[in-house]
Amino acid sequence: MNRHALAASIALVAAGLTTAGCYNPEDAGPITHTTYVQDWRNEVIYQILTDRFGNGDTSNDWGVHPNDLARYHGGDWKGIEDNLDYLQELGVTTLWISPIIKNVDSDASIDGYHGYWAQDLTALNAHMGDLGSLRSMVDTAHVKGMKVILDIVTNHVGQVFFYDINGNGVPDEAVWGGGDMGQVTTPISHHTEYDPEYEEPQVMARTSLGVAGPAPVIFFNDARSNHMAPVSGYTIPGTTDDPLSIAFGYNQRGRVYDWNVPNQVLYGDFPGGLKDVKTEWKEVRNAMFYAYGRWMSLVDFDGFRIDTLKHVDHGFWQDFAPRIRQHAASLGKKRFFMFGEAFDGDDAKIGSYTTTNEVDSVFYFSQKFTIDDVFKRGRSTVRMKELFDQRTVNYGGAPQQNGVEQPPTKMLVNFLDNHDVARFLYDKPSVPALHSALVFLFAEDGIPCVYYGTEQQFTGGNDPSNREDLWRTGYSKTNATYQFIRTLIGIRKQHVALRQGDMVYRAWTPKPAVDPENDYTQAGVLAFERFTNDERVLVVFNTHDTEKRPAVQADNTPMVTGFAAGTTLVNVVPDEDPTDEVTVGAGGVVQLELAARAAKIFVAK
Amino acid sequence: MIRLGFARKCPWLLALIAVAAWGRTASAEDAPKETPESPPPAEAASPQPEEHPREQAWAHKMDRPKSGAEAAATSNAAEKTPVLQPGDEPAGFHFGSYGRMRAATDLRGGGPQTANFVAHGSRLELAPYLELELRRTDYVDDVRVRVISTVAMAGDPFHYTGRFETTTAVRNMFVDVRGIGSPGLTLWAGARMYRGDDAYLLDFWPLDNLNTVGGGAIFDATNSTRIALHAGANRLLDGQFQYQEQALPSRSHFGSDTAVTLDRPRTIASAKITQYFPNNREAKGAKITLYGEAHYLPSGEFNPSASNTVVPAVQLPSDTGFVIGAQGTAFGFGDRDGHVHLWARYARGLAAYGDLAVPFGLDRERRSSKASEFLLATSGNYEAGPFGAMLAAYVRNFRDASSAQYSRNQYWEGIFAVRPIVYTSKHTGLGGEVSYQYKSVNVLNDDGTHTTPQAWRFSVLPLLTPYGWGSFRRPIIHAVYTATMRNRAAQEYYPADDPRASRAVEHYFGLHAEWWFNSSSYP
Repeated sequence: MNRHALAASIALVAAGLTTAGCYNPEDAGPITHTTYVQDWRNEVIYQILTDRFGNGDTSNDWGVHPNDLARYHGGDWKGIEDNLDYLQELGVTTLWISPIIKNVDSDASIDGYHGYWAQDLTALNAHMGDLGSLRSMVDTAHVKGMKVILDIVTNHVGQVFFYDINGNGVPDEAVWGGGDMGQVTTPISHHTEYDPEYEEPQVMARTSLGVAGPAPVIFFNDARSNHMAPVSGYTIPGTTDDPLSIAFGYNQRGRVYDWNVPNQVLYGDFPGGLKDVKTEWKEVRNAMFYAYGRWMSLVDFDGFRIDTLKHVDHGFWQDFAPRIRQHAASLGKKRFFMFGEAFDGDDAKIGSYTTTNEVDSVFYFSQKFTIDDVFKRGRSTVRMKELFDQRTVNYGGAPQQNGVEQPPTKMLVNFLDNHDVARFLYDKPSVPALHSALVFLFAEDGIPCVYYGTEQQFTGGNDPSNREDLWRTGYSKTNATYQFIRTLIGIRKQHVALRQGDMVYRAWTPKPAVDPENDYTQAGVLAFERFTNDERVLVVFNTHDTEKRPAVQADNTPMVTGFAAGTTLVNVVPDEDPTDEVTVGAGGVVQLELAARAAKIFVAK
Repeated sequence: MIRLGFARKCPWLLALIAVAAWGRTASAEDAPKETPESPPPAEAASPQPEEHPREQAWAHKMDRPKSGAEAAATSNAAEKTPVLQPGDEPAGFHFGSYGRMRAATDLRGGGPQTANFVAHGSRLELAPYLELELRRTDYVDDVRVRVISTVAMAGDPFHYTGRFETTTAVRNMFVDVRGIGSPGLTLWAGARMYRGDDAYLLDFWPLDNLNTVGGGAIFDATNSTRIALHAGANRLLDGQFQYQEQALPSRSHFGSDTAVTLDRPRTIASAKITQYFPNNREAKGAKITLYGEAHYLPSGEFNPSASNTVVPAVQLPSDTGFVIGAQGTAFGFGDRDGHVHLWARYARGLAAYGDLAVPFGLDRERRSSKASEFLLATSGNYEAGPFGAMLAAYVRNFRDASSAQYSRNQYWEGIFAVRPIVYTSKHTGLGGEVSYQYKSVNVLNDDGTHTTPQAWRFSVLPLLTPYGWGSFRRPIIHAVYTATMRNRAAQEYYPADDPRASRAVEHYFGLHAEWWFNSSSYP
């Protein structure tokens, strides 16, 4: 099937589903797709875990356990729509919502509330509403000037099958071995057919005599918990098979146990029994395009956030991303934004997905770790500069074809925390430190992304503790961080240099000459400028928790900026520091004394 | 035989009671306005054929002094003249029951052990069982209408188990209507125990014993010929052969919905023609019955996938079966309830397993067509003065559909049992029972021998018979001691750790009560 034919079939399916599957006649028929974004650099993304943001429809509160963080809590798309004013007043412009498709409902008493356990790519997660409520939320967001990005997963599905290693037809977990007990004997080891460790060429069946060929893959069949064979809606031509419903659609190599082994990362199951889809196979690629292209047709989404980027081969992205862009164009949606998540500190690896017409951008994980080093742990601020200096090396420097019209180097999605890592305040319970990092987030080059609850000073640790219910705050708009973010977004909107300007570092603290990685006492000044032809902005920080620091260069020479001498700079970030104005000296020198945790954005007065 | 003797001596009185009963119904508020035609008194007074021992006993119960209602009905006899036939009961509500209860021990400090290993062994060790029948009978114009429901409870009672629960089944739930179209035609519909004569000592219906929901017609074409046709269905909740429910993903996407994905009722049709000699109104005579059944099961698909595994569906083909059989009976001899039955039955396919069984040992196409059952059986009773003797026996060959040369599902089995009784006073008696059973399974032992489990059983039954002499007079209370002598093969018939495997002699001592009255829903 060529692309046009597939696009046409998707449109037909969309029309058919729209007609047949909705209760509200107003929802019937094809929808109109509109381009809402001219330049994604102007956007501020707000990441929403739908189940935890707002519960607007109690009728879909099926199986909720509101006091158990690993279970469904009741949030839904109606809950998002009901609280769009809260977000609008905060100033965010784009909502990234968690996956919408039907998941394995519950596995080992943990629910698929997060959406990353896909099972039926053609069906919505009914815990969060129906197509009508999803469309209503998206349309209302558009009316209020907000865009909506959909989180999708192509790397894996949920816990949908087991490896029948011992050939007995049922999934087993066993402890083998006699143990040590001070004698020479076989070691005790744990074996699970639900989630066996990675093995090449694939997980093998075994008896006491050794390997016995590939272990059969057996899909579960438990409708109650929705452990069912996955569905993409796509059928392999000439067959009746859905590539996701047959064993061949999976790599069948077991769970990653060494993240430093490339093949494991690419072909291994994700921990938790999340089965790795064979994205190298063209029919799986067709299935993923069909499934997610279909949702593009059905709902006026403005972009995709793509999960587990680095666990999928580049060939997939080079096939998938252009087809999605072409499909978006066929729907009338321009600049459909795709940014991916590669949970990795390796900047070059992350950046590799932004070349050769793959995704438009990535979730800037390498910077997240650097921000933690600098803004939480007091390490040398030069780390920020060093990372920035690699941007043009590691990331695509040209816009993707038919993409968002900006090069990936200018489109990185910056963040402090998200649903996969502990919140900023968890291991750095300092609101001044958080605010300092937020100033960096909103002032640096790229697109800022705020994880829901940051504005309410949530402090949760790792998953699932970082997935608190927002509604328990009453959607307070008086929280100091809510107001601080609102102010920063306002400043960003007011100054084009902060959104679209180039960036150059002006001051930083160096790494120690001796043992440079042991730099935990190097907190201090960090300064950069954002500038366009028409505007220039100076952003300065003192990352030290308790001590003042002069804004000087690493060699203690005065900080030189691009401002003209005599220019009066005023800090637009409200704080209690009296040094809110400074006059640029000869040669662009700016002399400042920065209080502990100072974070300022100076603009020309 | 009190009832029949009574009828012979006082036919006019029986007719009067019946007429009076109809009159009571006709005077009720819901009675029809029109007065039906009265039958000839002589016909109404004709004795019933002795078709079933239990019926005989129930009939006996009806000879007890009349209840108040019956007395009232009698007083109205002159006002109405219903169309009654021999054996008809008065209009109104009726309650009947069958039950048996025991307190028993193996005399080794334990509860009673079952010692039968044939399919239909001696009834002396039967577990408790109770039927409660509620019946409404009305006469409307020329039509008799009965609404019949029978609730049955099986197993030990609360007093023994301490569990406030019982295993309950509704065994009859039907309406029959007689007299529409022809005075001899009875039409019925509902759920019904549909069966003929039994071998009492073995609690066994050798020729016909069906359980279906459906309907049928029983037509007394003449006084000597009865034709019974029936068609019905049953669909066992077996979870794999006829019926399967599966949890499927819900359309609401919340959890699962339950759907019936295998539902293939077995349709059973039966035909039975009985010729009486000289006719069915005589107390003494004979009858010959020809009988046939046809079974049909449509195709289906069983999904054996469990929640944690998916395996291919199993295709279940359509299947059939049939029964042909015959019965010869002589009745009315001796002093009480004398009768002897001879049965022959051949079943093939589905029918070889019985109507309520999931076939096993199917062929490679999962069909039962090669399964067969052949049966010869007899039962009888003879009483003279204070003496009586009951008899029952059968031999049976069963072969499953697998065609295996050696199989535990290919065997001959048989039993005979005799129970002599002598009454020592009007209300006491002493019985004994001797039985022999064997089962020859077509397999070799591991040592290359072929052995046949066999058991002799000897029982002594002291009886209390409040209704006097008679093998079928109920209620009775009796004690029973049984010694079962097993040969070595019979011991090895049980699992090695089963206590019976190490007992050459099994003891049974029990105190039994058995009753039946006023339960007349047999065809």
